Amino acid sequence: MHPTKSFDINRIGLLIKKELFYQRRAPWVIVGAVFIVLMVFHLLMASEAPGENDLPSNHVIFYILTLVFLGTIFTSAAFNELNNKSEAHHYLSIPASHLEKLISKWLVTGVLFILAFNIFYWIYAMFSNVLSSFFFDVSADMWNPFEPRQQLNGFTPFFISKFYLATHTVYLAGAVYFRKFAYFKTMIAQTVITVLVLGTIASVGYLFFRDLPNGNLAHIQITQDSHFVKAIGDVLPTIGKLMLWIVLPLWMLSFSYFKLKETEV
Amino acid sequence: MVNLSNITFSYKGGLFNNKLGQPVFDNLDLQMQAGQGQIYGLLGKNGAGKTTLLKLISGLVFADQGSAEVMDYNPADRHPGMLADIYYVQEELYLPEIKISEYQRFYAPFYPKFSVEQFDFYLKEFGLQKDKKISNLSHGQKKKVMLSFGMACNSRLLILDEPTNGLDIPSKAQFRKMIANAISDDRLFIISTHQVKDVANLIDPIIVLENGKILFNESVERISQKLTFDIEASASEPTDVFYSERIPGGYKTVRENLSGVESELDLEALFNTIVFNQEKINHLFQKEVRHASN
Repeated sequence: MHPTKSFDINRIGLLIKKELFYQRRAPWVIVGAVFIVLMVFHLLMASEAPGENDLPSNHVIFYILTLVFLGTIFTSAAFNELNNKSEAHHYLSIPASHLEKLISKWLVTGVLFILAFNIFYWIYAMFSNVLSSFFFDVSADMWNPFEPRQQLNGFTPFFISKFYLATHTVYLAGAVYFRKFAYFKTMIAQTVITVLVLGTIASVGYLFFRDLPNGNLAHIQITQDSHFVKAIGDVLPTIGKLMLWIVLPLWMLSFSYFKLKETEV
Repeated sequence: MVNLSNITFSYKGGLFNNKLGQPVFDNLDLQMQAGQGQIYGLLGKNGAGKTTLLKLISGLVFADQGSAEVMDYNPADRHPGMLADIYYVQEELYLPEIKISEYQRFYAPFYPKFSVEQFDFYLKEFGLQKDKKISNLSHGQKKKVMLSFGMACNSRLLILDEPTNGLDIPSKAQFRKMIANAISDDRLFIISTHQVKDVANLIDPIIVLENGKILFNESVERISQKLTFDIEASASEPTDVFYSERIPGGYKTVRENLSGVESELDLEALFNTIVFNQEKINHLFQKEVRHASN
């Protein structure tokens, strides 16, 4: 490890090691509670299930809900050190760069969380199947997050994990930005921004196409085969993918980085 | 090692994170150099800006204007190279809920010059065991852990904010002994304190901060040459003194040293003299500079 380098992979390793050690106890309470709640719901649904085919769809819903719920709460608490002056002093004084600190948090709340969550869910699914089979004689196939699901339009549950990895950066940014109640404040901010963006798009759309119902633009004919529709059909999904997988995470991570860099005690 | 010039700083706040009130520092200049075992003593009233100054040096707050340089780094960058060579023991401590040995395991690797032997030695001197959980320790014991860790880091700049607060009487003596042993020519220690008696024979030079301004920045040698500290058994208040304070049986006084005989420095009396007779003190110390330049 070279102390004068701004970026050192070993320091990231040390930060992650420290982070995991600190987190070694707290999540077990939440994990235990979620495990029990899921199990109760699963057994209730299994008792009412008309057939075994419903259980896999329950699993998909539970998987998404718990992933998003646990993940966003966990991520929102990532920079809890900055809430308290003495803790912030201690954390910001650790000899590691802001980038190293951010990467370590991103890895813990993103990659490592997904890994741990998938292991957790696999264990839960196995247990719940054994119990529902034992009590109600209904069971689903072995949970496989890499198996494409009808309920997800052919996507695998693991795709949702990847989706989480891209979007959880919003909550990471919220964790750096907001001092207290980061989870709720990020949710509110996210909702307000979404409403504003959609409102702006709707307003712009209205300005362009408000005359359409009056027939003033009747000469414009849009058909499925038109170049316009084809171009939109080709371009929009690509833009959407770029926004989701690259622009959003990079933007949020950059925001988090600069906010962390600007943080004073 | 520490070079602050024309520093202006105000605390931010409010909805738009704007500047609040009067600046804490306005065109502050301060240079501190390592060498000959310098332990700078930073004295000042509550709210004088001592902790803010220490935070500015260690990159925890950023100057609005002016330039700051600490060991060739801009402290606001919080470069790992700089952070690895600074250790700051806060007044209000934060220590995680882990054992002392675990704290060492997770934090020592960030400090390349950290010495486990020294850490063990300091802990032993303070009567602490490594297997103790930090959260179960008293405030004074936590402070001992941080002081031990800070000294074992062997960083070039050690910042101690009210280091003796919470320490018991024997530990204060231990602390002085350790600090005196740990200082070397390539290291710079800064001690900010109200407990001047605890660090009386330790700090040199002495810096007095008042309303964000450096009122006084002199070595102990020069202070002893210029001022005489005395206790006079007198019933009436002495005249022709910079400062006098009623004590049982007489007065504690501070006068200009006209005899050339050096007296024992009384930091409390010195501080009060500087604060209450700022102009006279400035004149006295500047007179010396003027004579020297002539």
